[in-house]
Amino acid sequence: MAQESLITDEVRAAIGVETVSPPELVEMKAIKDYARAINWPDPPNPLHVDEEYAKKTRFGGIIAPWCFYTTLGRSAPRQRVPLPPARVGMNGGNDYEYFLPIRPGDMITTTSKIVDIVEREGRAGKLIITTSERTFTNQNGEVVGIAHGTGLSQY
Amino acid sequence: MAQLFWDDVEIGMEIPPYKKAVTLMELNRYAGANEEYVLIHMDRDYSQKVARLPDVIVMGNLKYAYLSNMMINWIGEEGTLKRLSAQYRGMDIPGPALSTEPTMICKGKVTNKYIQDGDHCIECEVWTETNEGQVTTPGSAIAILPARS
Repeated sequence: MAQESLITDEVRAAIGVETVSPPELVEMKAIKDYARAINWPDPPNPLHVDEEYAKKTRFGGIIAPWCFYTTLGRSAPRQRVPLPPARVGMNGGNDYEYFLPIRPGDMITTTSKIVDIVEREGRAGKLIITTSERTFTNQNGEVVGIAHGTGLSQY
Repeated sequence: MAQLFWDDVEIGMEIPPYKKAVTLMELNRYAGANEEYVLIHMDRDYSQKVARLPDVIVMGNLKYAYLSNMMINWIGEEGTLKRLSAQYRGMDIPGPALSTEPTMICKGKVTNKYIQDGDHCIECEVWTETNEGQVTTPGSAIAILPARS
């Protein structure tokens, strides 16, 4: 390959660096909006929107939808990766581990890190595959879940 | 819906399919709820002319949510989803406005069942298919189910 790799030492240095978000309040409205959106146009799962219903379940109250992890950690300081801007960025995959439910009023801290950055020669040009990990911890210090993610950047 | 029990699950068993008519309405609602304002999920001109995609495409996170809906509907409230993964390998194009014709189908089948540390676990292969039967989102799931005994 005559072309130079986009993965320089500076890019590689971003791997493994942890960033921590300020604790983030899980709002009831955010839970309900999310639950409605993932079921639309069907009615949402009452476990996420109906306190009376949820109280009678083993959860004892409203909990967030499991995939609510997508919303968390946005306020985390952005890990600077010195790559040129991609033509298009895409989500390559999500892999979520669920340990404990997230509840309205929880204060969630997200610890993020890049696990690996690799380069491929795709059909349409260079492809950078970034794998990352976000660990979610609640106000009691309990790890509620881990999100493994794959990001694709097309050049 | 009747609760699913571990005892009644067999390897190879199919998960009841979850069909969805996905249109720009579903994408926009999800974009709002997830603060996912990304042009390839919102703007056809941008998708085609700049990103060189065939159309606006359904966000991976929403396909993940549909796969999780399928699992949650099936394992019931006494079941516990422990892990769900999905890889966004192919594109899903939303259907026309107000259409109720499904554009994607979530499917799955049981690949393993076992007891670990007293938990009655199942493992599943899950995926989404387009109407043409193309698998766009392969994945896997692990859940704990209540046992009769």
